[in-house]
Amino acid sequence: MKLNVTQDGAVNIIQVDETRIDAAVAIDFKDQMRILTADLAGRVLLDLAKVDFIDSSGLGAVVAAMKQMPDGQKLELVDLTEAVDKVFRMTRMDTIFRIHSDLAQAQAAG
Amino acid sequence: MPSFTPPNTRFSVTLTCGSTSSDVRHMLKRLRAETTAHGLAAADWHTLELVLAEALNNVVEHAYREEPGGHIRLTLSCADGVVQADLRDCGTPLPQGRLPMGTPANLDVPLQDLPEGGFGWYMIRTLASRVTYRCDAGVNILELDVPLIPIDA
Repeated sequence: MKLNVTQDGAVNIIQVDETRIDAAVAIDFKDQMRILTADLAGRVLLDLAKVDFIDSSGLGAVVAAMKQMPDGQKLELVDLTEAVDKVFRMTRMDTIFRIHSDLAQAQAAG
Repeated sequence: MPSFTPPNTRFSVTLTCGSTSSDVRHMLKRLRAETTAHGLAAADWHTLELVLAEALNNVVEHAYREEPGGHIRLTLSCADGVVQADLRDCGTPLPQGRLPMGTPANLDVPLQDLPEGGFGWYMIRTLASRVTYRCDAGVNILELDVPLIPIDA
């Protein structure tokens, strides 16, 4: 599971450099997110543009990643592909996360 | 890839795999190649992949308790606008031999109480038009019907 972190001012962007967040990598994803987000200040955007498949384990890992962020920080999601968007809408998790259509819109949203 | 699966699409494919989540991942990759070669459209594959992934992951997690060495057999048959899946394993049967209800998760809770699991059966029951389970001579048999998107949708 490859995650790339970049910082742009007060905005942290974690890009998922994988096509799947599924049961095979869910625990790895959650653990890496815990390490990456432990000392981040500012907004945290999770760029999902490359992810074309997420299952219930992967969805649970994204929820867990937000819950384990320090001081009640929120995880914002960016650029959901069609299949990923469908899973978030079906489970109503789209009502829990702030979701942006692309990085430019996410950064402008402030 | 076409937007719709042609209504006359017919195929049957049987694959087997082991009992780990990476075995499931490889099986889904092989199935994607097989089914799309037979004409299954991308949108139909997305739905089918999700239903199959949830069903297969349940077998890995609960029937085989994440232990390698188990076997899973999956047959997909497509005809008349429906993909029928027949999924068999020799692991632990479902509790009381019954399918979980798959009720939607309660999200009206504080952040720290949000559910991190329990979405799988809800998604299966939302996307599949028929789900049946039986255990026959030590073999768990799960049957799922996934309707294709009609061409006039």
